[in-house]
Amino acid sequence: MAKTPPLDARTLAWARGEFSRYYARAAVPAPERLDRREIALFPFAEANLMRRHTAARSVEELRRYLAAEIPRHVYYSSAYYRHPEAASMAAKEWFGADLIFDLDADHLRGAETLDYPGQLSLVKSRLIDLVDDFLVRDFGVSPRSTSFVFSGGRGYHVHVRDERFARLTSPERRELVDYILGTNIDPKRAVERASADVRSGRTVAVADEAEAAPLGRRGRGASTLRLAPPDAPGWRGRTTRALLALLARWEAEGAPKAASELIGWGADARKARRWAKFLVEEKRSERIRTTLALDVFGQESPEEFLELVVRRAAIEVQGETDAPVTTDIHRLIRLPGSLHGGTGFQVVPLSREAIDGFDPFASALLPDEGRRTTVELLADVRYPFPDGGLVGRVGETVKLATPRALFLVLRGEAALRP
Amino acid sequence: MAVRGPAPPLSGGELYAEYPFLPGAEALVAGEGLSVRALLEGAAYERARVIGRARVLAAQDDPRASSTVQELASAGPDERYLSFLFARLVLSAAPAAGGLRRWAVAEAKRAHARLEHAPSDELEEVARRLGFVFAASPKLVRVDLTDYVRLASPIREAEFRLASQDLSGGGVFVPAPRAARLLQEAVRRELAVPVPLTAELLAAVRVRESELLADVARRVPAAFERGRARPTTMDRGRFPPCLRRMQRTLERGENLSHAGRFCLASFLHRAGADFETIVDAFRGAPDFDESITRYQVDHIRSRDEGRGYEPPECDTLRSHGLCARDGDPEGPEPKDRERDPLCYEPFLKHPLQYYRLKGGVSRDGKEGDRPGPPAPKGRGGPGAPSR
Repeated sequence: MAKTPPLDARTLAWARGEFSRYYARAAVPAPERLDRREIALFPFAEANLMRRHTAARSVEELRRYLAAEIPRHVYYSSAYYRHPEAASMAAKEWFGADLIFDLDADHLRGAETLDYPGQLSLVKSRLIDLVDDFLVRDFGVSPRSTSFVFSGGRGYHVHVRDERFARLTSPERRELVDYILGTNIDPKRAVERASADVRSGRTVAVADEAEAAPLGRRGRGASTLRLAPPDAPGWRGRTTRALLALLARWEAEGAPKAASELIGWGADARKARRWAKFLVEEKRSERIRTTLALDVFGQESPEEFLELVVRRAAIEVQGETDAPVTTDIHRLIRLPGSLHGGTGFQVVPLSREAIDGFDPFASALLPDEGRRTTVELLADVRYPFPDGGLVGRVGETVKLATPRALFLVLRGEAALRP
Repeated sequence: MAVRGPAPPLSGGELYAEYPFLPGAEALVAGEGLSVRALLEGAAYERARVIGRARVLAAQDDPRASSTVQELASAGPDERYLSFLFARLVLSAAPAAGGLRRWAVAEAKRAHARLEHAPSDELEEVARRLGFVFAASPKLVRVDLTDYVRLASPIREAEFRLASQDLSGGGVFVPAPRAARLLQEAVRRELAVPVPLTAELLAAVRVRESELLADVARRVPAAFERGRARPTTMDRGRFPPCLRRMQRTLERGENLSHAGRFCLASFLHRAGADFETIVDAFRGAPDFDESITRYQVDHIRSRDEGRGYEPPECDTLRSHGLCARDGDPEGPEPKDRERDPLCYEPFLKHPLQYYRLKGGVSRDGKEGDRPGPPAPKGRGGPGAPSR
């Protein structure tokens, strides 16, 4: 939960002092139904012991508690309890929980090779996909009952407060997560068998899945394969959209790039080059994009191509979220408005509109009040803070605005000068 | 089953006779001044009781309701309704919940046989009366997302996973047969809960129907061993809290998820349980089927030349909602209800690791050091076929 490098007693006392200045004045907002939530915290201490099972009846009580305790990390329960302060789960009496999604660079595909700022911007783009594409479009979640929070660390949290979801059990929430992650989806559901209606001359989609699904079947008269409409519900439409985007990209990048990508996914080299030529140079790809028809393969069966490419396209658009966070109905989650003890960033509540333009380096750090702190760098650092960023080499001694010094010290990348 | 066309629309009375669990079905017998006492004792209801008993016993032997109950087929609508009420009354008074749960599975299956061929407005109506929002259109039925996951999560077939549905704007669009299957689950849930009875009535039912209740108790497969002592190295007291909770779930006759069933079977095997002991662990499942369980347990055991499948590690159990390290509020003993500190040790990654640390002996000693094989696809866990 809280991964923070060990700090010595003097550093802890200094950092705690900085946090105390914040909590003395901060108007930390109350989570909805605060009096039903458990509050838990990690103090500034060498032993990493969590203090749990407290509750606050009002926002004033919460703020007094934070000002007195000066926690390094503070959490509240996504769950609602009759007795949030009780020491055991049984005595707490669970009666519901927000639906929580956690996107964190630690769990994101493709994040391993990025630096911290790069990770943050990748997480943000996946957050927007999660919210707009999955939660709003598919789950029908209202943005009004949803809040978005920058975690202060490597990611974002989404809190959905909606009566309909509140009482879902863990396995029921697992279904929602599996949907987002695309667990065990069959991408070929995005391929329909359209049959020519002889009387009307129109092509009609075969709605019955049992008839539409099996691609291997041949000789069904005048039937052809085509993609589900891009606005088809669920993974069918999503897969089509991903496939169309992939084809458009290949058209822009040219046949050799398409061929090498196909080979990278495991296609036979000779076939890959033929498909790429056929799609990109002979412009069949454009025809797929405009008509959705997959009859462009002529005599050749498209199944092998579809198996490879449709699957790949679906993988591209799989959602991201940390599954155990959503399925845990007793989860403790970082308190919005508090400070993250591993960065000194504020845990910032955001509206959906604010997400796109949000930059933690510009707006999550405590304001510069003119105080300076001298630190020795323990690593090469490069962070895109405003006004030229924060850049330095290991071993250098630098005088920094105190919030920036706090950021580096808490991350273990700088030490206070003795 | 023979393919039938859509069933003709039902009148109110017929609807209740087909779906006697629906609130409002009392209207069927409204003129009769029916009391629970009368149903239990009155001479006028003898035939209803006879059919009701047949209904109860058939469910115990055949919870999947694959054969028809003869007495039921020849009864009129009000007799069918009364026999249903009687069955529910008696099983609600049973000391163990297993009988009621098996009966709920059978009655739900029976309702499904009708729902499968019902016109979609009938599906809509039955759903509405059970408290679920289904909206039928000519081709598809729209089910509210949260209702869908509630009803579909206990169903194990892969085609019911949410990720395979057409989901949009908070609605899941399913073909009518799939909606019928969801309603089967709704009926099962409705009926698996005992109706509240006063202490006096409870005692009266137990006395008058003692023979039937004894018969039910004999027919419900016992959860775990039926007093047979088997030589085994397994020590249940050393199991981690998650496994103990899974066992309690089945012993109470409640449904355990596929992931839970897979974990329990693979864990028991590694913990030294023999084949029969593992099979017995699933007898409490409301949909227990002996031959299918034997087949599935055998499959799990024989993996890797008898090492068996690797039970899932703690992370996986957590993500499936199976972890119980915070304590199980419904646990019988204080140690079940409390948080288990060993589970919070950073090094603890695997339930078998817990078992060994508590002094248990397992067949192999490497879990937690390496990832296990993936769980089999779909949800065909031991205990039951797809319901």
